[in-house]
Amino acid sequence: MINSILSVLVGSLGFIAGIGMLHWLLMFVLLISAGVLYLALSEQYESGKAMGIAAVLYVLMVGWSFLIL
Amino acid sequence: MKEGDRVDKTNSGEESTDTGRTEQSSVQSKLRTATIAFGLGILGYFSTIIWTIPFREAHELYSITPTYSTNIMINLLSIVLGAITFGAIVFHYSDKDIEYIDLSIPDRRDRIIIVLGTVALLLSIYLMSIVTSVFETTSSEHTMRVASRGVINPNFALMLVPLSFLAIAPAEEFIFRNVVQKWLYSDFTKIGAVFLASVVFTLVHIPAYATGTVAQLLLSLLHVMMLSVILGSAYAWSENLMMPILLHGAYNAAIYLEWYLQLAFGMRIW
Repeated sequence: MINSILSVLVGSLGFIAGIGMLHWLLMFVLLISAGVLYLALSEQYESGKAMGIAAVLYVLMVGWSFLIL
Repeated sequence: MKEGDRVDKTNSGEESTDTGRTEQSSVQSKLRTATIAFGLGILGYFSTIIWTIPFREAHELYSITPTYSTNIMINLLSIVLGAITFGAIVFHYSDKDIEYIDLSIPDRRDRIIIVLGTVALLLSIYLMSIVTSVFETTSSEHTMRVASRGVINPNFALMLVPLSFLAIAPAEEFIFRNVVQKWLYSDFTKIGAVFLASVVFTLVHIPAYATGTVAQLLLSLLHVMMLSVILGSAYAWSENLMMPILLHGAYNAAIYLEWYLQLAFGMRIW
């Protein structure tokens, strides 16, 4: 049990450390954009729906960036 | 001369003096508004420049040479953070708050205008390519494209397509349309405000296009001015920032897509 938790932890740390500066910056830009999008959408839609759209867009964009870059 | 005539003349003299004073104060007020708008544009520009410093310093601290793509991403992040900083400064030193931002979901009529506007913007790129071929000249390239020759992963250009809508367009449109252009409404007609805000928008783009001769630079700036007038008009007409954001995003996306096709497949569309 402890071994599996440790291996997941070490694996995650390795993944985080292995991400290049470009991806870190990209994720940060997308995070801010998703935040602004949430604020804009929450004016029109209910908060949960706005949050959902912004979160899905963020995950899709980050996933796509890891695929193509 | 009758007494009544003298009184009338005195009154008309006072009236013309009053009119002169009013015109003078109106001109002064317009000058003041235009100067502040210009200052706001410059503040917006420097807000983005300042944010690049900590990222570049961080790289130097660890003796890392940032790749070309990383440099572009730093600039992109700086534009976004700069727009947020700019908004925070403007809202702090004025009586405005987040309600000042004109954002709403475009309705059916807006969506038609967005499609037509995008077509107009793409046509403007073709028009520019025709003008340059007739005069056997070229416009200056954006510093981003000049610096990227031979060192960029084509997929990075593809990555910039959605980022045009999500980062670049919202940041620039907030600064130049929602703040600079809207500020000018207080003393100018909407047409005058669109024109003056476009002048400011064009001026702050000079460093980005200063890569060729003066004639090439002027040609590029003329194109930026055309783009800005279309974006400003869309905002003035709809009073919805989402319109120029989507138009600007579509325009930039088309440019990046063409760049991607050029880098990946050697295709030149315009």
